[in-house]
Amino acid sequence: MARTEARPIATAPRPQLDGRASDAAAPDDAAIHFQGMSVRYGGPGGLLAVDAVSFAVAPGEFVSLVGPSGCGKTTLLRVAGGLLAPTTGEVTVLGGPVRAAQRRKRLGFVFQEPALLPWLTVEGNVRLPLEVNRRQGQQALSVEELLRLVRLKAFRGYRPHELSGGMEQRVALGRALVFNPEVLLMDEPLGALDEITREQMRYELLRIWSAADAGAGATVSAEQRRKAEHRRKAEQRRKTVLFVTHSVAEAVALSDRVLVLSRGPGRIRASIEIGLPRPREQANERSPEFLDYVDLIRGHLRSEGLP
Amino acid sequence: MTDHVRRRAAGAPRPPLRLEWTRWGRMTLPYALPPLLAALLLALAWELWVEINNTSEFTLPRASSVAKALFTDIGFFAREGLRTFSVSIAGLAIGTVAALLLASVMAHSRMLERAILPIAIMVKVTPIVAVAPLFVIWFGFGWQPKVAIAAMITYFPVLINAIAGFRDVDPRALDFLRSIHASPLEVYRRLRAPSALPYLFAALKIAATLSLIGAVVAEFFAAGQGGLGAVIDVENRELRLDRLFAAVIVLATIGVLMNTAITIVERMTLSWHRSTLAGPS
Repeated sequence: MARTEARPIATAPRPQLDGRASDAAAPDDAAIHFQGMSVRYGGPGGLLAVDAVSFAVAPGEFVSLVGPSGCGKTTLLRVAGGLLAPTTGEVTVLGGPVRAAQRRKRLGFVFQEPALLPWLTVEGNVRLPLEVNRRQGQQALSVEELLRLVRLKAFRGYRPHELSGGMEQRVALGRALVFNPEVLLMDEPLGALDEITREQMRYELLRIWSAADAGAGATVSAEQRRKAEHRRKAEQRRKTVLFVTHSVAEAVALSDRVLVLSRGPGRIRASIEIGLPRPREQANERSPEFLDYVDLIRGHLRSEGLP
Repeated sequence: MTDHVRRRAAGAPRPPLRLEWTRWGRMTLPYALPPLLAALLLALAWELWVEINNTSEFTLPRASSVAKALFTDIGFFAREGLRTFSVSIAGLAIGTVAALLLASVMAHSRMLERAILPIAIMVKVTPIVAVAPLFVIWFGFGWQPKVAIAAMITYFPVLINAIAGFRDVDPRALDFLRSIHASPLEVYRRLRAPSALPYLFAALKIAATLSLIGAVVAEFFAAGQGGLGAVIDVENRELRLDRLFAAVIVLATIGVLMNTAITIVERMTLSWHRSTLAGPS
């Protein structure tokens, strides 16, 4: 299933109580780099949503943003995805401007709502990015492969209204992966799901995250494995993920690092490395280390006035 | 995976549509029977009303004499009805295409909308009766002025609805398309046009009936070439009210059939839309 990662797994460090923000990655080779970025809505004198935020996400790193409602998490993500221009400061993705990464299809965006097109089938929705601006973009994963990856092959001919919420979100995930982008931006992708589905989708997401890199799902033929191996060599790196969530447990379960944002205007309050070993499983959520991390992050949030 | 549970059991591929008679009957009867029965009841009430009040034939003819007038000269009424229908469908087509082109441009630019909309309204509020004689002078006595009038009366509801439809897109889907760097033309093709379809069908139903009115009014003015409008005009003057009513009934039937045709196409096209999925409660 999931690949084990390079980081040492034997020594799961206790969470550091002083988890102050420090840029983990050097700016030059960062996958996503925010430099003193502010966003103000509604012109001068308007609402300041994000206040001079600087941080970098290393290639292959899974970083979560947590914080009180209205702290600018989504705003940060929208800027990184090129849906919003920063008022001041700068954002670079893969060493260049956001628009360039967007144009070359190296960014994938997953929203809180699946936002599928209701008149297209599952397959049509996954295929849509390939059909839009066909000439651009890098090598794409085959739709066949993607449908297997998100486990919707049997449902390829269904329309969105015939699917459950979890399935719809998996379609959205498949659609975001179709160009095999290096960077995935996820805005509470599990937020609209019910509790039980949500907890399962968490690990489904990790499985897809690590499997998409290999380019194939769980069961593959020898031929596909050979191709996958080839692709793995071509792109050793795992996808970089910037993930917005309201759920502290979700952030700890998924991330390499969790950034805690202050009450709006958003600033980075703390950056906490999650030293839990990978691959992660649902059973680990009861381990003392896991709960320590959750408590630590909750503490930071509480000081922001969140229960 | 727990979410294998489907919300609807609509998974099996739909069988191809074959028109076997029994099945066709079972399909259409629930739709055709209620309006036919209602019409029959209405005719009965009409007949009774005339019977009880002993109304003069020159005020309100009996339903039965209208039916007699209609069926004794059915060939004539069918021919004239077809003329009116042709004018109205041509006007509807031209008006709709023009409105869609305008709306596509206006949906992309508020400035253009501000510039064009007042002119569109100006054309709309110009009374047809005022311009109809002018159209005859401009376009001659043939079908052209009639089609122009029918088009003029139909473009407006389509225009207004199409603008609303092109704009009423799921903002999240719009975000997604922007995130994959879709051009405005791609957004129009993939998102705006399909999103506007429900609006468009609603507008077409309004415009179809309007186009019939337009055609009839035009036939009043543009003498020659006949059509139901001319028939109504002549029979009114000659006080043959049974034939006048027969013409009106043919006109109404054409209107109902046009509306039904649009509804059928709508149901087939919008199988994904909530209005089709939900149905009446």
